Amino acid sequence: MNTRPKFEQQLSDWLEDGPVDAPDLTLETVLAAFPAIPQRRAALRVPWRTAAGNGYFRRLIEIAAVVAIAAGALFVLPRLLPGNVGGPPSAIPTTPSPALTAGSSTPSPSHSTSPSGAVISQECLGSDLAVQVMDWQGAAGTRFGTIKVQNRSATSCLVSGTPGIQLADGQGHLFLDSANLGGPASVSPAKPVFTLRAGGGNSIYLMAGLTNYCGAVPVSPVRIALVLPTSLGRVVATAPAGVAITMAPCNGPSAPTTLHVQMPWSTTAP
Amino acid sequence: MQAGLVERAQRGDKDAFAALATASVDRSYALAYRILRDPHRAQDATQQALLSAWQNLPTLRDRDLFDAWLHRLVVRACYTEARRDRRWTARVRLIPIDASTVSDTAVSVADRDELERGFRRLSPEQRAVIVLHHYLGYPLTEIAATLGIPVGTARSRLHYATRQLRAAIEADARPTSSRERTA
Repeated sequence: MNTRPKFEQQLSDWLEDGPVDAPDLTLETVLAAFPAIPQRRAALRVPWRTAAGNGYFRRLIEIAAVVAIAAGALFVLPRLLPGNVGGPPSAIPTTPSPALTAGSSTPSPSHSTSPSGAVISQECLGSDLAVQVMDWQGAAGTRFGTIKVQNRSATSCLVSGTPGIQLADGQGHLFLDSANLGGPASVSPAKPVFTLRAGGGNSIYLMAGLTNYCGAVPVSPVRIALVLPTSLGRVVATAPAGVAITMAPCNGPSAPTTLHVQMPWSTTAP
Repeated sequence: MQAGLVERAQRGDKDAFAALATASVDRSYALAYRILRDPHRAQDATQQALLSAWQNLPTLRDRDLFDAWLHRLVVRACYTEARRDRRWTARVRLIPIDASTVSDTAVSVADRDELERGFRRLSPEQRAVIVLHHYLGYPLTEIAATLGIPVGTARSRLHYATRQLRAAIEADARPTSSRERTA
């Protein structure tokens, strides 16, 4: 005998309806994209859930970490204080390590010192940046493209947050703006902060996405622009020969058009 | 067999992950679709979840929990996808259903339409618990583990989501009833 309340049974029946097979392009896109994405290697593997008291286990680790840091500080600090000449010779070198002052040759998220060791606090302006659309591809109902950003100014600067995206037609008329389509420029996420070295010394990438465009066919060539958060400016991307920004197919005028950052900043091309 | 594939994929074996992704894509999409109620967003969420799975697979310790872990990633990707457009609840169009003009065979269609409208008014978190419970058949403990929330939170979320869904459906039905009364 079925004792489930009628409403819950209706709800279950309703949920049962609907697609159970993903469109082929879903898997094809994943299979094409994942080999280029590096896996995160965990030094200490903590189970994503534990049978007994996940919170308790985490708290133990946190307490152990605080105790270790405090003990380390107590041990090291007296040796670093001036005038403490009676102690044993320190193993810490008196000159800074070259690795700390020369900077890394590979870009690093949250790296915020310049090659000379000076702290970089200046955010990149739109006018500092060179932006290029590397590719623009189609999936079911979607268009997405990789955008490369470099710093063409003479000083290193910082990028964080999520830029807005705009599309302008060949006559320069702005016809789509993510600020109105669910993907406005945002200071979130505030971290990681990416350092762009002067003179195009390194690059960062993001992936932009467009779905369900039901408007008029824009005059070619369509240009894409990034709008930096907190009024830092806007920069129009260039596109190499052979890369054309095409519109996503219209899947229904009643459904929304979206223009958004599909994958956030990364130091490697997606 | 799946645990073996997970282990190989954790070591960076791309063929093993491709096999896992192929085996998981349909049920991930089905889950995402039922939470988001939009095929394109569901497709995006599924892709994000599977790419995130590849990226973070080395951190998964218990290989037998791969399916539940992937469901968690799908739900999270749905949250992200849903919040990408904060106006999503405002897109619900209220189309009055005139029950007096529909035949008996179409009543279920009207019910489904009401469910669709009511469901779209729920938050992504509420949708997720409803789908995990009523579609995948997860008990509260499994929902809590999948979403990384206490069992009590899962219970109250399911309770309030169901109540809100019921209330939304009844609110939708009210104008129709009053019209029927005056007719």
